Amino acid sequence: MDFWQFLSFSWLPPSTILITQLMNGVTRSMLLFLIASGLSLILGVLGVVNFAHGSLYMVGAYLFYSLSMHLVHDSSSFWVALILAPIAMAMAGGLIELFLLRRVYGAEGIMQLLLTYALVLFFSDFVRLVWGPQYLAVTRPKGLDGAVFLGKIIFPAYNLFILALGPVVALTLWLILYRTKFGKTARAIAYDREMASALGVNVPFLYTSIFMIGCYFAGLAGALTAPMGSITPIMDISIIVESFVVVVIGGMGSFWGALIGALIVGVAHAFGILILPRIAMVSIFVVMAIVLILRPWGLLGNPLGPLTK
Amino acid sequence: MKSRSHWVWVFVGIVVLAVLPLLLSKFYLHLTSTMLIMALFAISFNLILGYTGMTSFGHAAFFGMGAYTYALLSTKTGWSLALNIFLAPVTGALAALIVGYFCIRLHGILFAMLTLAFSQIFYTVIFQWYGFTGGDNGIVGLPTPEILASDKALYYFIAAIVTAGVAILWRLIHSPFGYTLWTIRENSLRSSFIGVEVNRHRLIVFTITGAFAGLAGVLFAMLDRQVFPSYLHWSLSTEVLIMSLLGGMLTFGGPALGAIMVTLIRYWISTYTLYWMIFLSFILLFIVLFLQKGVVGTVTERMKPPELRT
Repeated sequence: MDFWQFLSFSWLPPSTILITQLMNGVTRSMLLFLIASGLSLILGVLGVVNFAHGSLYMVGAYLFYSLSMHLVHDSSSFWVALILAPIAMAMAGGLIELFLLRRVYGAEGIMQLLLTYALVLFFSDFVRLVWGPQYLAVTRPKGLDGAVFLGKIIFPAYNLFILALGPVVALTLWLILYRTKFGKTARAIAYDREMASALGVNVPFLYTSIFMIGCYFAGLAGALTAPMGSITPIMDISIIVESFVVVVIGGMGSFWGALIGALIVGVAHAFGILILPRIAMVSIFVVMAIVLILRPWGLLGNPLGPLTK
Repeated sequence: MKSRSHWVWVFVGIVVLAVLPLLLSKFYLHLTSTMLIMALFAISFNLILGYTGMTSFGHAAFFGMGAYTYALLSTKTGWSLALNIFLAPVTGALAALIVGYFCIRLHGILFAMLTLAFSQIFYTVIFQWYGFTGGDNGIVGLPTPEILASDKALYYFIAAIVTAGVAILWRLIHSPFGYTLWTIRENSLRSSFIGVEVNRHRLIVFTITGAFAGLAGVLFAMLDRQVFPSYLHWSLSTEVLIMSLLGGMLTFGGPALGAIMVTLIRYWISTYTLYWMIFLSFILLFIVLFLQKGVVGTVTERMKPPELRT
């Protein structure tokens, strides 16, 4: 390939493939956003790096599998499971916060990190014990199992469903955080914990509820991912690493940062696979390293925040 | 008085290491060698974790770089064994110098994340570069030099290198440089006020731990006669972190005990069940909830008179 050929972009795949891949990337970004926003929220408010977030996502997917494939046997099973699985994960998150995390808030940061890492190990063997090591698949619900023709482009209906659902969920989370008293107090804690509690904010209650909200979204992302591919006992690690990249790129504790970070990582991954499949895996780490070197607080993070000190 | 009792322990330790091959079967000798290597890795890692207060999530990268340097040199060149072994920690140190140059300006979680990012870049390159590193097939069947062909010879070689490495680390920690690191851990802002060049010290100690990680890596490659990309994976980075914390990161020998415990626990549990990670998670939870100073840290705390306890 000479220089002029390179400039003519003839080496690129046809535009229909590019557009399909772009849509795939954005679909993935929506799921990444669900996980990363919860991770970022927990980090911002509780100051805890929740390594177990990917594990809750994974358990959410497995639970969704059991609920939709075995519990109910009619066409509504998908929707019932989609509602129940994330709620169950929120409950699990509540128990984790109440009985484990709460005991180490005063300790060094590394202890909290280790505690959530212990949960990663626990859940990774837990799903192997309960559901076995084999890959599982969930069928898509009626109405979302086909393909949609958009001009020349053929796109799975289920992906379109996620593309539509993503912004709705993002908007809901935004409304909770920025338009309710609950969200305002949560942000006050993230801004200045001591001052907020001195002013009468019920910090322990908020910690538990924020952790539960984060886990709810992780479970929701897991349930939504389940019909798109196979459910595996190793899906926790790859997603947690990617979500961290998203949070670091966007800025820790930043809502819009998580959205932008998710879009960058999701789309970069989709095109990376298309153009240079071998380095797709490494490309997101390169992006994260560059961001951390040039702007350690992330694209939209707070340069004076507690985490950059 | 105190220094004499230390020497007694050192003497006892060396005698035990020397006698072990006469008592142990081939399998347990291999297990002991693994423990020794991991102990060296953990003690050197603790130089930045416990003594300087930097939580790295990417130290497996330097371990793996050492192992791969040795594996590549010994399969692709005809260079001498001594040179191949010597160059492994050099690569580890070089990699740590480059990574450290970018990382030392960050602190806490961000430092951990950037070291993780770099280590995953190293990991992916080794994993994907089939032509050079063999990708996920690794490099197996490394040639063994004749002088180390027997299990006992290899064990003594590893034990000697580990002992020498630990002795160097001990000297380093009890030198002015070591005390400066301790100062940085206690309060980096104040130590910069009294004229300590904090970032330079952080970079130097990061590079030193990279060299020792590389040394541990080459010993591990020689022991198992193979290398795999998993040597660079972040799960090994967290494992060495767990070893240091389990033993006690504020003590010199703690990480070694942690390394021995984790290696033994993994071996014992994995002979009974495939699900050894669930046991590891319970151990970790136990440390976090009840044993935050680690085994050695807690025991030495209990031995102090009550008025000196913290």
